[in-house]
Order: sequence, then C-alpha cells, then structure tokens
Amino acid sequence: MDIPGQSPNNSPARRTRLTGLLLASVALALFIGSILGGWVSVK
Amino acid sequence: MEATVPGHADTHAHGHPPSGLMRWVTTTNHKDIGTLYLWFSFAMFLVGGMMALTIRSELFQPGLQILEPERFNQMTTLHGLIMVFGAIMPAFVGFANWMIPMQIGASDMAFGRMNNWSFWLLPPAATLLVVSLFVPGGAAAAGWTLYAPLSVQQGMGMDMTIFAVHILGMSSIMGSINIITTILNLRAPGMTLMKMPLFVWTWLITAFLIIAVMPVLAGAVTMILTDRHFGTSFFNAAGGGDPVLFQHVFWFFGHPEVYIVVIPGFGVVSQVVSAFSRKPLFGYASMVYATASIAILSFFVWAHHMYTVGMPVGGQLFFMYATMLIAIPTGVKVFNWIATMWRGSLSFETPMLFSLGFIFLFTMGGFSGLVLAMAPVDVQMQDTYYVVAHFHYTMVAGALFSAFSATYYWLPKWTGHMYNETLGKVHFWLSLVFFNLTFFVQHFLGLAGMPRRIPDYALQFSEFNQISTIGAFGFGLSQLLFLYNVITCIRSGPKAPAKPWDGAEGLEWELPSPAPYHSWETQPTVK
Repeated sequence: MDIPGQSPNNSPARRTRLTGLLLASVALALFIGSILGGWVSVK
Repeated sequence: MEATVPGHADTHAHGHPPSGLMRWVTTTNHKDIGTLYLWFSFAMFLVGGMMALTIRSELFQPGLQILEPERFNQMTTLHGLIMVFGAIMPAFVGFANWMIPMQIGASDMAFGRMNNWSFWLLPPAATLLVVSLFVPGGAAAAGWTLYAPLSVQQGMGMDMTIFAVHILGMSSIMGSINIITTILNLRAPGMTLMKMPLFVWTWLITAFLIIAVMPVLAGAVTMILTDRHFGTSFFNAAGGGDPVLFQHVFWFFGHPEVYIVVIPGFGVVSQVVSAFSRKPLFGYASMVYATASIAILSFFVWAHHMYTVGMPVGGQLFFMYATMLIAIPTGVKVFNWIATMWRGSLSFETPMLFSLGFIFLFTMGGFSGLVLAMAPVDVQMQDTYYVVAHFHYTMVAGALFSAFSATYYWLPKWTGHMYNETLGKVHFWLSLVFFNLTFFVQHFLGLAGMPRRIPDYALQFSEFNQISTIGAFGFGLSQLLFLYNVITCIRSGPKAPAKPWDGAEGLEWELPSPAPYHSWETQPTVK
C-alpha cells in the first residue's frame, strides 16, 4: 500500500500499522492494569 | 450520497479463490471470513439453543425429570457463554467483515491475516466449552458470570472455561483492532466520518467498547486462574481476598458487554428502517451521538447488577440514576426510528418486519430494565425470572432479531439470489409469537418470586413454566425455517439485482449481486 514518492514515515500502510499497534497496546495495558488493580485492592 | 463507481471490470479484477478446504483455512478475504463467522455463529446458536431446550424441558414441570441439579447449572452456564460469545458476537463480527469494507469503499479489512486468526481462534474455544461437559466434575456451573467463590472452587471444567474465555477475548480484541483500523484508515475519498452508514458508525463505537472491556474480563478470569492454581487470594476470603471484588471487575466488563451485543443491531435497524421507509434516516447526527452516549454511560452503571451485595445508599443512588440516564439516548434512537417511518412509503418485507419487531420488543426490554434499575425494586427482583425475561427481551428480541433483519437485508448481496419472502415472513411471525410465549410469562414468574438458575420449583409456578417451555420449543423449531430459507436461497433462489431494495442507500448496493470476490480494488469517490 506504500505509494511511490511518498515519505515512508507518513505512508497509509505505516499509519494503518501504527493504529493497530496503538490499539493492541491499549488492550494489553488494560489487561495488566486490571490485574494490578485487583492486586492493589486486596493487598 | 453519490459515488463515482469504477467500471464493472475493475470490480471483477484478478484472482479467484483457491478451492477446497484450504480456501477457508488460509483465506484473508473479508467476505470469506465473514461467511465463516456467520456459519460458525449459526452452529453455536443451534448448540446453545439445544441447551436452552434442555433447560426448558427440565422446567416443564416441578421436580427433577431429566437433569441432575449440577448438570442443570452447567447447562445454564454454557448456554449463556455460548450464546453471548459463540453466537451473537461472532454473528455481528461476521456482518462487520462482510459489510464494512463494502460500505466504506475499502478493498478489504486492514489486517487480513490477523482477521483469519481472529476467526480460527473461535472453533477451539467453542470445542473447549462443549467438551468441558464430559470431563470429571463436568463443565463450569457458576453461571455465565463465573462468580467467585464458586468459580475458584469448581473442577477442571472451570479451567477449560477460563482458557476458552481467554481465547474468545483475544479473538474479539483482534477483530476490534481490525475494524477500528479499517474504518479510520481505509475509507474511500469523500467518505467522511459523518457520511458513514450507521452500521459502520455503530461498529466503530462497539469496537472501542470491546477493546476497553475485554482485557478487563481477561484480567478477571486470570485472577480466578491464579487463585485456583498459583496460591493467590484475589477473591478467596479465607486468604484475605474479596469475592465482591470479582463482581465489580466482572460487571465493569459485563454491562458494556450488553451494549457490545446490541449496538451493532442499532446500526442494522437504522439502515433497514430507512430503506423500507424510502426516506433518509431521521436525525443521523443525533443517532451517532446517542450511540456514543450509550457507550460512554455504560462504563458508569456496572454496580446496578449488584445492589444486594451491601452497597452504601449513596452508591445505590449513583448507579440507579446513572442507569436511568441511559434511557435518554436510547429514547432518542427509538424516536428517530419512528420519525423515519413517519409519512414514509413503508413496505413490510422480512428485514423490515424483524427491525420493527426489534424496536417494539427491545423497547419492552428497556422498560423492564428501568424497573430493575430502581434499587428498592431490584432488591425484590434480584435473581428472579423477571431478570431472565428482561435480558432475553434485549438479547433475543434485540440482538438476534436485528441479526435476522441484517441477514435477510444483505442475503441478496452476498449470494446473488433472493430468499423466499413468504417463508421469511412466516419465520418472523412464528419467532415473534413463540418468543413472547416463552419470555413474557417469565415476567409473571419473577414477580411471583420464582428464582432463576434452579432445576426445581414450587407447584404454583407450573402453568407459566409449561407455557414458557412450549414457546421455547416453538421458537427453536421456527429457526429451522430460517436455515431452510437461507440454504434454498444460496442454492436455487431467483437471481437478485444489484439493488433489490429500492429505498436502500450505500456503496454496497453499487456493486453487482453477488458481490465480487474482490470489491473496490479501485476506490470509489464519494461526493
């Protein structure tokens, strides 16, 4: 999906990958956060 | 909305799918994966339905007939888990896979291989759930809510359920990442956010909800797992833990989950009502804002599921009023659907009938929800059949009816054939009558004090239980008509035009029927 002549730092493919990575990171953070939250509340 | 559509040859571009089983195992095509989701969902609907009929058979008369109490609890648990995670959620992900790329002018989903993986995680998870019935100690029997301390104590069936929930959660999260990324990055030129069809909007909001709460459910069941096997005491009071903490964590996931199940249905109904009223949707922007409001509010109402745990009055009041607030955006949506129909040129094909059934019955489920939202009333109704009736009005007449509406609406686009309209209408009316026969009487059972999740009951509840069981069998058998109609439509239905519904709007109807294997390889321009 990279477009010739366009900066690879701002290509649609890169934006798509970054969106996916950002969302996956949020999900992972929430998973770890919920367990840490449980641990803190019963500590 | 007008679209400049590339030539027909463009939409038929290169490549035919590989044939045989490997086509389905290795596919990254959104239409193939959508089809897999939909067939898987229907299979799970039948499995969960058989469990429901087993439960209703046991409850046909008082006393124990066909199930041991332990087995009965396993049935209610698996019925709930399979219907929510195996049937309804995958059905809407199937619609999303099929329709979102076609509706926004994208050639496919953003991450094709992850899309394949999202689907193929489901069959092993479903197998784990079903096979857990046959392991020593049987399946999980703590209810679909998996409340501690029961879930900390049960046998290896619970471990299999925990693993299945992890897998199902991963699948949902990956599916949601794909949907959000596709919608935010792959829209056709001119397809601004506020031009997107309502189905796409509702799925965008739903996908954010899934990413926000599914990891919390995964965290909750992970804590159960470590309590069971790794010496922690998150929920074990004997070790200093707190079983009520599980309820808080579970319902922080569980209440948004209700909206995850039904919000894509709102999108379907919005499009179907508009198409069969032959009018643009009334209040498009307010529909979007109302949906977002419902999603946001759903994070602040979780404890209305647990009024009886011994919450301070201030807490009860907060959750009571926050819950009642949700009626406002929901009312906006119902008003808009009715206003769309007002002075419209209405026709009542099967998709419209199911959408109208949705509006009427889901609103009834909403009203009984308001009754239950009131803390002093809920203290009386908690864990009675009134609650069972309430959530089946939202889950069955809500989510399932909108799924049927979507299937009949888009089936000509998927298959290139028309379904049998008469059979579709018979399916709707039988479903409507038997649904109410099954669940309306359960309100009375609940008000009279019959508790849920029990295999036996006092003699005075017999008549309503018998009516409910007859309704359940009628409802279950009616669904075979749907299966027959879909199969005959695929194999031998009359040819469908590109746009079989004259009031339908949207890019999907610019494509021929059946939609080509690869669509929008050259993006359309939306004006």
